[in-house]
Amino acid sequence: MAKTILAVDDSASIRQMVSFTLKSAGYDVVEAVDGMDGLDKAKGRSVNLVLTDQNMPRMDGLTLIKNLRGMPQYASVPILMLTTESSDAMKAQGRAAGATGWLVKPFDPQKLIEVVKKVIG
Amino acid sequence: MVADEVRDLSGRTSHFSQQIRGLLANMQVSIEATEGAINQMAAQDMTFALTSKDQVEQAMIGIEEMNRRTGQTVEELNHIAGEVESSVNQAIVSLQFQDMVTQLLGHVVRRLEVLGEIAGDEGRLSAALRDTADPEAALRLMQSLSEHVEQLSEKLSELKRSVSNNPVQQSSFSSGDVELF
Repeated sequence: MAKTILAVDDSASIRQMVSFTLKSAGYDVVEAVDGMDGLDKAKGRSVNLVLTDQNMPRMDGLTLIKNLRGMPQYASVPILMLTTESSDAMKAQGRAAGATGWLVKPFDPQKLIEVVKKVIG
Repeated sequence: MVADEVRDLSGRTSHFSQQIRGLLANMQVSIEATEGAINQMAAQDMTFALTSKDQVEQAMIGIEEMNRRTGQTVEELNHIAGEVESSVNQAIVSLQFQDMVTQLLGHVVRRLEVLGEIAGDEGRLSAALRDTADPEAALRLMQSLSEHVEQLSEKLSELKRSVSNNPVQQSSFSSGDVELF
């Protein structure tokens, strides 16, 4: 059974590209338009990995991670940040919030698949 | 009496001898015919075998050529598949840059809108001051200017905050780093 990845990004084209890349590698992808939507969609299903942007309307990526880590079912689910933010300070905040890893946009499709495989197999 | 029997026996012997010679001659003819037939059959089998061998050799050459072309085609297809994959990856990275540029432009437009508002306010105030001859009215305008400077300060602070909230922080053309904690 294919593993499910929740892709959260306010940019439709980024969501589309992430989805295309991960689906071509055999994963199921659920898309969410921002942190709030991501949180709603995470509640209703079993997700193996969350891939989220940082700067989004309504709820940003760090807040989403904090909310997810507060839910028992997402306590140990890997969460990767996929963002244009690349400062050490932001990465430290992400790590403190419970992120598993940090990917800086633009992502290389091959590299994204490699990282996802490394994290969830 | 005995002589008659001897003559009779001699005559029959001679007759049998002739019959045997005739039979031998017939057998010789038959053997020759058989030999001829065997030689003809052997010749035909040999021709068939040689023709078949040639045909098999031709077929093998054809199969080898087909095999070579198939291998070549598979190699070309692999090469094309690699190029297509590389192009798709490049397109995905490029589209992300396009997306970031679009977001940046939106951000710049929002900043310009705030700057436009500030410039408009300044222009209106400047025109009012220039056109006022009455000192009291000018004083009131100066007070108004003072209040406006405060508002301007707030707008500039807001602009500074929006600048720091730039949705795109990418500053290079390469694809991004990956770091697992």
